[in-house]
Amino acid sequence: MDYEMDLEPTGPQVTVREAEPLRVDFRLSSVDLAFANSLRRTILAEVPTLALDLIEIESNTSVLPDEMLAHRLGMIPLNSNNCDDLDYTRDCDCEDHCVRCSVTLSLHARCGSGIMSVYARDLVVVGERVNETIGNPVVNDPEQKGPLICKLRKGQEIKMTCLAKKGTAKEHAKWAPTAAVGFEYDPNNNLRHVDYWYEQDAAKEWPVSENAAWEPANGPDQPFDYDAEPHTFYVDVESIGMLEPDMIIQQGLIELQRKLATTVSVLSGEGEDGHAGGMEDADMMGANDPDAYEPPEGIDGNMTSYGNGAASAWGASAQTPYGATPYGQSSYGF
Amino acid sequence: MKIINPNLEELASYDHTLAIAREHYGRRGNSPSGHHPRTVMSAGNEAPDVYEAILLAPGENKIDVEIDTRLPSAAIFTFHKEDHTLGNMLRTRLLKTPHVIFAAYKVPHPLTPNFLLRVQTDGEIAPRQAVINACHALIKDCGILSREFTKEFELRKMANAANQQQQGAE
Repeated sequence: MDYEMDLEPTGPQVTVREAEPLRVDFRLSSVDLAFANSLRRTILAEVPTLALDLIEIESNTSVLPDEMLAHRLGMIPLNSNNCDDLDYTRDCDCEDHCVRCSVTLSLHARCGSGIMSVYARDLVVVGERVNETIGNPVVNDPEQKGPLICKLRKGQEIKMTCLAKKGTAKEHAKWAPTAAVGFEYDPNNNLRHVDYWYEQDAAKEWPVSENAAWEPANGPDQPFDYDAEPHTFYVDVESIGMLEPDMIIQQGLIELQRKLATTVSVLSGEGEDGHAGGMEDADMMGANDPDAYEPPEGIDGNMTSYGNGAASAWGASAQTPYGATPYGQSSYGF
Repeated sequence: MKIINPNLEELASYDHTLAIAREHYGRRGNSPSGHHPRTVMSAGNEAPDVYEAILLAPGENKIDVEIDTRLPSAAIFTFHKEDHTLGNMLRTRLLKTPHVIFAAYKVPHPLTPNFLLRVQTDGEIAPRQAVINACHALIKDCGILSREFTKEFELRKMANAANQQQQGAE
């Protein structure tokens, strides 16, 4: 089946109703509910972005415990434009992390007098990165401060190095590119997918949404169409600021295509034993990579230690799963 | 110096769900290649592996195909590390694909990151080919949507800019 040549006149139709710096509202029509919902699901959970994932705390004399600071830092949105330039750390060839799979930021603040507020803008990218903007903290407020990280009293200091990595919201919500995705179809309830609870009159007690103006309502005496299916969807994507709203949609579509292409390549490339090849397939298997595992708190310094010489910090039991098996038995060649 | 993984706290609860998922998976006893040496994390401060629900285990296939011998031209595809996102989309498109007479999917358990897709055809094409055809059609749709969206978004931005200019002039 040649899917690039025979372009039918029909296919998904889009009407962008509102486009703002952090928001896009559009009407998606001539698609089925499953497709629209899959797009919504990918946008919510599977668009790769950048977030702080590993914090090295050098000094923290603030009132907040290290863990809480680390957690707060993880939630800070970072610019993720052209995130494709960056590899997943687990897929990267490097020992622990490198420029191609991470961005390093540093945060150093000491309070001289009074009360000092530390904001996201105080995070500064250090060293090289794959492109000019990736990893910059997102600041959208008029004062250009960004989210508040913590407050310091006189003499208190925080000093830390933070590692931003690529990930998806499926792994942790901090990688979510959207604050919210609005999704509505059939605002007039012509399809009767909703059965309203009411006291006297459902039509009076349940006001229709603004989207109802975009399609006709069935009259009360019109016979019910049992074959009707939803085909028009009203989507409102609200970005956090890591990605432009249109990029979120595009990345979501790319992610969907990647899933489908993997399916095609696995199904058309495999033999009877069900073994598959294909690059995209290999991309998705990184579970045996050493960087897939982050050391928990309380490890002294030496970050690369868990490969082989980590006996001191780990105890003997931890040595086997990460030391021996995964690297040796890798079937993917890295 | 101290190294902290910011998502450690949330992951603590994830550990339990994973344990349940694993137990469930084992009890059903139909994981042909699913067991791998890394499922030994449970105790204490070891971070549970969130990737277990996202990435294929070493040696695990993305898709296992099982021919349904009870009926002609029927097969059950087990997709690993995929969910409703792919399953529902594929099923719906398969039902619109020529020669497909049955298509359905299920996620056996909400904690298992896989789904089963059962496809039966009229014999003209193999179920595997039907799935491939459906995927191609969906990829094409995504492409069209991407182009349409780009076009419409640029138009809207231009219209907004024109509006603003007009307002500025007045």
